[in-house]
Amino acid sequence: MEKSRLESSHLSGHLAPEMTGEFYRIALDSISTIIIFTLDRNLIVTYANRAAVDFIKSLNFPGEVVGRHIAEVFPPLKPETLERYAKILRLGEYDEEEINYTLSNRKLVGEVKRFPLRLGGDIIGILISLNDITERRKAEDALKESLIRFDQVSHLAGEWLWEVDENGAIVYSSPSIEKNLGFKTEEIIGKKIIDFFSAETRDESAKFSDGLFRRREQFRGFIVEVVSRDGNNFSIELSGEPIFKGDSFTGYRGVALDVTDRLNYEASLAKFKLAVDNASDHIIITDENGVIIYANKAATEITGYSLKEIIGSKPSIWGGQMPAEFYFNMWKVIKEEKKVFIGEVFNRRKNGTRYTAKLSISPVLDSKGKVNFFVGIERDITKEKEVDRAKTEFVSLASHQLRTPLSIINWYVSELLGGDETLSPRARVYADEIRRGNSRMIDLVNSLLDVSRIDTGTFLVSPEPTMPCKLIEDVAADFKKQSEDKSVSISLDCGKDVPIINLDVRLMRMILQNLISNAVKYTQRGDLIVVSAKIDGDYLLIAVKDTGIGIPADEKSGVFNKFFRAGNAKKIDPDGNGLGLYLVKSILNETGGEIWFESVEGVETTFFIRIPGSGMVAKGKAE
Amino acid sequence: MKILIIEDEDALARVLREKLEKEGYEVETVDNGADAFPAAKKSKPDLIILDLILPKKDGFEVLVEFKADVELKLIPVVVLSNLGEDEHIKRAFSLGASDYFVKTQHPLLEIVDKVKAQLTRGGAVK
Repeated sequence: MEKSRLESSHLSGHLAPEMTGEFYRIALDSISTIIIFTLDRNLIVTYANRAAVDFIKSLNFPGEVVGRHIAEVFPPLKPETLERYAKILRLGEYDEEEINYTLSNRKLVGEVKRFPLRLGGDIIGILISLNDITERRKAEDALKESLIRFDQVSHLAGEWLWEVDENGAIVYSSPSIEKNLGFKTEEIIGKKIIDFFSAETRDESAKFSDGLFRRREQFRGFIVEVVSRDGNNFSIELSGEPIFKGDSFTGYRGVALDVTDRLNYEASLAKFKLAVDNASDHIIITDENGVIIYANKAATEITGYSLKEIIGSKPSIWGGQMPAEFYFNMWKVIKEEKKVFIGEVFNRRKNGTRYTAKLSISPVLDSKGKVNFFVGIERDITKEKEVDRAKTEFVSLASHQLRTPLSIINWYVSELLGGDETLSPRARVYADEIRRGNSRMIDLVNSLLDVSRIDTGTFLVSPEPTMPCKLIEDVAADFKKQSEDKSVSISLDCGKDVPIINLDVRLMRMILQNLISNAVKYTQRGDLIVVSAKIDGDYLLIAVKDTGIGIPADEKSGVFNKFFRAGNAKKIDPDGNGLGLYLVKSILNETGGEIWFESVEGVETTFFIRIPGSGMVAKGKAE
Repeated sequence: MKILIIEDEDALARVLREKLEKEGYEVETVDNGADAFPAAKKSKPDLIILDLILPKKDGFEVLVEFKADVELKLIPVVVLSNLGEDEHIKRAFSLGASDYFVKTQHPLLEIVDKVKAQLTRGGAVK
């Protein structure tokens, strides 16, 4: 009803002076959100707006509010509050406070304002307004809470969150700056980000930042070098968005990330990549299905395919020249057994020429042991192979060429010694020296040929069923004359249980000849040599035992070296070439056998050789 | 009995010839591979001593020629070479060589003895 009166008054276009009090009352009553009281000097309520009446009713206050003392309305009134009222009435000062009160178990926050009411020069009372700011407080607390959370999160994330005003001065900085650069937040506020840039990058960065502030654009991933509080350089990556309030630009807000480690990591990764890119070996990386995802320069140069042709293809574009069995075995090793595969392959270049490559493929596994990638490294060994072949051919040719003059000397000297009756005894001695020297040269050439074939792997191993005892007997018989000349006896002790074994007769002869020849050579007149053979577990064990000069302890380690000769052996037989035991060991290594010895200097030496019962490992004709 | 020596190294051919002639054989020598077959065709020797590394035509080819000829294929061929590897020896035997000597490994006397033995055997076959 009052409202309609206001409206009618308003509509009438004027307000009569006697209506003023009524007008204010209506106005105050219509404010539903703020509780308003007036008190007289005795603190008796003279007015309460509708919001106040409703509020007090809700506190279960009985009867009218107007005419009651404030202490009755809001019991218990604290002495401090009474003191405040007295002060307002005395001094006429405005007062304000925030109060907490509980209403039906609800905690509320109120903002209380107290104004002195004046009439002429006198203070006649107090106007109190009480504003319920519970919700506002809640919102503010929530905001505070989220700000703290935000700071904590940014701290944990290691990112520095910052905000600058329109002049570039920092107005907000998350605490993570302290962790990153050692500065306290309060040291940062008011400074410009540029102030932290290192001297080396300051000019360039300043230009960038000036441009930004002119253009007011967002920016991403701007990397600058900054100096920490203790003087170390760091690389940080800045990203930011301009802030606009309405139409006006008020600054930038953004994040900064310490990328020092990442940059260092990237730099070392780049170094690795550079090394791999430019390695002379052909290097590729494939996925788990063999599809190529990386190839280096050498891969393109060696195969003749361009990077574009290689990436996304499979290595079969240059491979596939080997029997299917080879690739089957290769995949088994790298994918099932997850091991490194090493082999020698034929490949075909884009232009159709074939080449030989040494290949190694390593699977790269993830933490669960699943194959993620394969790294394949190939080395084009076509040239090496050619050089090897040329070397072998050279040695072989040279040796054969040497054999002709050696044969001439050999045959003519024999004629001289055997048939020429007119030869003086002195000339006979000389001719015999020539024969001896020549036969030494022949042995050397023969050994060199064998060594060259073994060193380059160009010798054949063709095992065939052989009776070891018979073979030993045969070889020993070859030394009959030599041993008789020295009155050394060779005794054979071959076990009856020694079966037929697959042996390469020629190589086996070479082994036995060398061992028995050494035994005869280094055994004193009248002594005994025992050659024995037996089955020892899964092996054939042959031992050649002599009672000769032995091998000096400090020279034992060199016995199997090429051209090695022990000091005491050199004295007895200056003609040896030191290739025999080297050859024997090489042959055994290549055919699955082993050799070792036991020796006491001046007493005896026994050489043992062991060959698998399954026989020597066959080896085909090398390329 | 006639022996044909196919050997390019004069010094070796000469001492061999001397030695065999002393044993009473009639000896003819040829110093290259190309002349071997015509010479053998002409003289029809009882035994041929063949080197392998020869000018113009190598010993293996010469051996193949001999063994492909109806008239010559039964004549024993003794290879006398510097090549001492298994593969060469096996190849020579597979092509029909009767014996194989590595020059440095065998004294002249032994070779002459083996030749004599071959001829005795060969004669028996004939």
